[in-house]
Amino acid sequence: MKMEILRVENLTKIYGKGENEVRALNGVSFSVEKGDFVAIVGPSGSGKSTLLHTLGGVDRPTSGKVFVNGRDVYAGNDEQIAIFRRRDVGLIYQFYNLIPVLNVRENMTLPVLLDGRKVNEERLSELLRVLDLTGREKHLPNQLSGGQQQRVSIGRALMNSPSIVLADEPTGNLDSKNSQEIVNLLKMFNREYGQTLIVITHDESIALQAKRIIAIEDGRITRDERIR
Amino acid sequence: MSIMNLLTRRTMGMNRVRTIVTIIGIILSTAMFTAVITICTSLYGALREGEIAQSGSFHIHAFSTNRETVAPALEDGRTEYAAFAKDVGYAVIGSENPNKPYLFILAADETFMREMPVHLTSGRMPENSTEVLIPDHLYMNGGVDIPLGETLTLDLGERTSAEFGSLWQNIGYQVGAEELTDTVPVRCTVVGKYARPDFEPYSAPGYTALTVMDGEPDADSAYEVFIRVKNPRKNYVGYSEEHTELYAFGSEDHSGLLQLEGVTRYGNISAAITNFAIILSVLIFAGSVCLIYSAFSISVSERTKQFGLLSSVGATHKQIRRSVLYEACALSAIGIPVGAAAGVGGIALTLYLLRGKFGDLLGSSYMSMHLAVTPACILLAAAIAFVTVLVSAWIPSVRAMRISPIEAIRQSRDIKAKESGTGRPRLAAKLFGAEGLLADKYYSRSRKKYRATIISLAMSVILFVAASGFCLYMTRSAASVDNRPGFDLYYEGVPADEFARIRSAAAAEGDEFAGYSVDFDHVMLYLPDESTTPEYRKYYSAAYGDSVMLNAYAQIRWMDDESFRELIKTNGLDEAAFFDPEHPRAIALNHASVPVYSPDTRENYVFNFLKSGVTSVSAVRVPAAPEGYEEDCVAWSGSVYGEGEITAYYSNDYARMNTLYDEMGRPKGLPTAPVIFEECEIGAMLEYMPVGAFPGSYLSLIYPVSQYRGENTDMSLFLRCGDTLGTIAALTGIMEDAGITVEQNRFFDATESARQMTSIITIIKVFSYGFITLISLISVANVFNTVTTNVALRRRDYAMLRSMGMTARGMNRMSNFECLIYGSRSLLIGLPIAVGVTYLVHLAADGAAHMSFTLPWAAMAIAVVSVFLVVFISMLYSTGKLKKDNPIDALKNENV
Ligand SMILES: Nc1ncnc2c1ncn2[C@@H]1O[C@H](COP(=O)(O)OP(=O)(O)O)[C@@H](O)[C@H]1O
Ligand SMILES: [Mg+2]
Repeated sequence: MKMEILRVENLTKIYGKGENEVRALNGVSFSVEKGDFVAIVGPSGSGKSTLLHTLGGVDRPTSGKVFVNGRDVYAGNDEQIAIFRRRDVGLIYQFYNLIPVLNVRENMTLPVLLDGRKVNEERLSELLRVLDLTGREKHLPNQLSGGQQQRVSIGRALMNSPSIVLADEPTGNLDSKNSQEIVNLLKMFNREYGQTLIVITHDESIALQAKRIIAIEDGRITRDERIR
Repeated sequence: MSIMNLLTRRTMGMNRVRTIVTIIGIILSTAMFTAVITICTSLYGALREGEIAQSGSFHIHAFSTNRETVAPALEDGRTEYAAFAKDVGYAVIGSENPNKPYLFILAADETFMREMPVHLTSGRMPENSTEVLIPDHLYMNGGVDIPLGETLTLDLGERTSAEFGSLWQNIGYQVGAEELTDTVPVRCTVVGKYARPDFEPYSAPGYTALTVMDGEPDADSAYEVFIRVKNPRKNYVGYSEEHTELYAFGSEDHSGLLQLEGVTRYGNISAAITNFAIILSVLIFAGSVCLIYSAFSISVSERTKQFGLLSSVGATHKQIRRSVLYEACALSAIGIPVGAAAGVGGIALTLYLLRGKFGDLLGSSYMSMHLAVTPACILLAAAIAFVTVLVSAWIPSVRAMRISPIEAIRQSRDIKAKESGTGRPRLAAKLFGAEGLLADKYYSRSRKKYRATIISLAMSVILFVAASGFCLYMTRSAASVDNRPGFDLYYEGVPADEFARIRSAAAAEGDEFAGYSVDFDHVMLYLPDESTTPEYRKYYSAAYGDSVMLNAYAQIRWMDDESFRELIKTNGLDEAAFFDPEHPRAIALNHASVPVYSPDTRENYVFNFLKSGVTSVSAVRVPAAPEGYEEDCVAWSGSVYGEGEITAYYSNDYARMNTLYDEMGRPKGLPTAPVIFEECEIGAMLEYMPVGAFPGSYLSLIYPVSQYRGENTDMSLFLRCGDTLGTIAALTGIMEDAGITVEQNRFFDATESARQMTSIITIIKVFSYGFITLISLISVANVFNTVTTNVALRRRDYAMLRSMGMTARGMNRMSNFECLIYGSRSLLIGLPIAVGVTYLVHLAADGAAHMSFTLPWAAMAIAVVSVFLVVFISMLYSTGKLKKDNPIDALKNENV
């Protein structure tokens, strides 16, 4: 049975005012089913990151609605949105954005700890194994390579088994070997665990490995096709 | 430990310098709060102790009453003690002081001996009614030397005058109009001596000898009763209203002590000290809030990205706030105890180092200042400091949370650049090249970040200058309220031919000396507005309103030539100008500090009489009165001051009895005469009181004694000395060796009156400077904090510039130019406000003493120099750290 996990209605985001006004999103609507793997493509400045941030609850849209699991994300107060981010979304950034003072284990378990829950050691060690980080739990981010750091941030995004994982050019800062490794991991999570994924990329070869491609230009969806 | 706290701890550890500076800020602030509170309690404690040592611990003194009358008070549970003393009688003792011929014997009970100011100087306390203590001033003032152990036979009697009947200690000696009656011979032994007691009125005719009262006070004899009330703050007012029996024969409240023990009916004893504490606390509070606040706002703005990250992985506002709170608590937990200890320790050390001074200044040898620390005070200081920290931590974190997580991660708020303005960049570029241009761009494009630095620098300048001004005015106004003479001691009437010898022998004792002829001249002056200062005219109109009378006087005195030459030398004047017998010239003591009383205020005016450049004043001489009249007044003949002519008015007893006076107070229809003006040339003016000067509302004109044309050539020896009693003894020896008969009552000791004022001035000085130092430290920490952060926040930019090929020299140029911007901007804001605040401080001080407004120039100069110095050093430190950076690391690390 197909289950809708994310629905976006008429999303608009305007930065600035007056003559400085930038319409980063201009009436975007679409929905994503559970277990889908969506690639978002488009030229630089077309509004991809903005879209992802509004989906992830880290940037409020100017108008429009985001439903995750049928719940209106921005209807809640700041506290509820924070809890939504903590439990329902996993964000992966191009520049990893790990917390420099926390080690690998702490960075990965951060959302769980923030939630005040006990760390599921089984899941953690499984993730560490899958991400090939076993034995590096105590390392600080600056003791890791770029690929390793990105794997930690993937681990952080997945730790809470969120409804959706959102990745903003996760391979943008990596060489092609490391890039493919990351993509393989993401694909594996999608296949093995049924993890819903939305990934921004401008790398054609990566986009083609997804199940569905949404193209954006000037804040509008210009193409939306299922390839698999 | 929760993950947030762990994170906070790690972050604090990473930014060790910032954490340490913040802790230092908390330590300094707490130290200052603790110090202010401790010093206030210690000072009040010392004043109270001093007051008790000086005058006793009683609250009410009931005059010669009896046991029966005061019985209700004795039975009241609120009475802490009642001390009894009984007048035994007077005996002639052969004193040199014509107004103090008697020894007065007072029999006191045990409580009196314990609670009243009886300070043994030699021997022991009396144990029965045949043993007495005699006061030191019996010899010092009366010249009667009785050795310890001597047994006296005294004819004790009662003072009686035909007019008033029986007289007691409060009534001065009635020369030629009183006698001792009912005398009985009494034998007693001198077992000890004690310091002049405060319970002996100044004008008392008898030196008070103390003995022990036999048995309990009986019902009907007359006693002096001294009562102390328990917990006076709560009980005193009600107690004194209920026990009217205490006032039956007259009484006196010990208001000095009651004020210090907080009985509100008596107002506040030392408003100066209270104001001082309040103003300092406010300044400290401002300084600490500024420092701690900026330290936190920096740590928060540095952590904004971290907050954004945490927020994006689902940390709630509450969690973030709690982490900030945790940081505040962790820093307080270290800073506050250390600060409190440092504050108490600092004051303890200060008191210890000043211990001799406090002894000398706060009172005589039996008074000192102890450290008074109460847990409540420390808690109060800690609480104030903690609230400061909390508020400082809270506000910036709320600000950081107002932006969306993604904005926080990008720190996009800070990036918003504005197009920069006009001509300045070109100047910057000219002076500092491309780096100057860059620095200027940084400044104009991220004003907000700079603003914190500039505001804290400006704040420091304001605090520093205002505190210095405060210190200046407090010292000046305290000094001015004090109308202390320019001497501690003088001896009147050294024969002129012996004077030089005595003076040089005395000078070997090491203090400051000057002689003045015993004779002096008091002349009326006419001072036209052109030659006087506005401050003088303000004083004159406050003192005399619109009177048409001439009220300005000069006192002409003649100083011994040797001292006069010294005075000339120390002031860099020309000696020849003052010794020409044809052409006498005076040194005018131009400065005065005069209180003007109205029914309920006492305002002090501090002024110079004459404008600088005035070379002579007109003395007004009144022609001799016609037969049958005498001089009445000198006044303007018109209806307002300055109108008509200055005229001498004469009157006689008949006119005075029959009120033949006009509404201006001038005699009507009686003889008048135009006055004669006599020019007095002034060779120099001094604005301080040289040794021997008397304070007063008149202008002092001093000539060398070789210009003296009068008859009485005796001289008085004036001196400044620390230990007046020792000096009196030494001088007595010197003069006796020279064959001069010394009369003890020709010594005038001025130290007693000067005591309290000197102590207050010293205390204000010591603590003002102490606090200025601490405030400066706070300011330095502040600036260091903001400058280093500003540089650290631009780590990436610096790295980029270096990767683009900017040299170390170029970086230095850029940072020098930034220093210039920081310094000049903050001074541009800080100095004018500082001047304004200083003026307000001046106004506050002006309430106590009227004086002209001067800026604390030295402090302002120091502020200017230190601002640049501190900024420069902070900059050097932080850019030095950056230079060690590997630019690529820096670039990689800070990416979003
Ligand atoms: N914080 C911001 N303030 C102003 N404009 C912004 C901001 N963030 C993004 N934009 C603008 O919105 C548009 C879309 O940006 P973004 O979503 O980052 O594009 P992409 O990720 O596709 O490159 C761009 O024109 C960008 O300049
Ligand atoms: Mg983008």
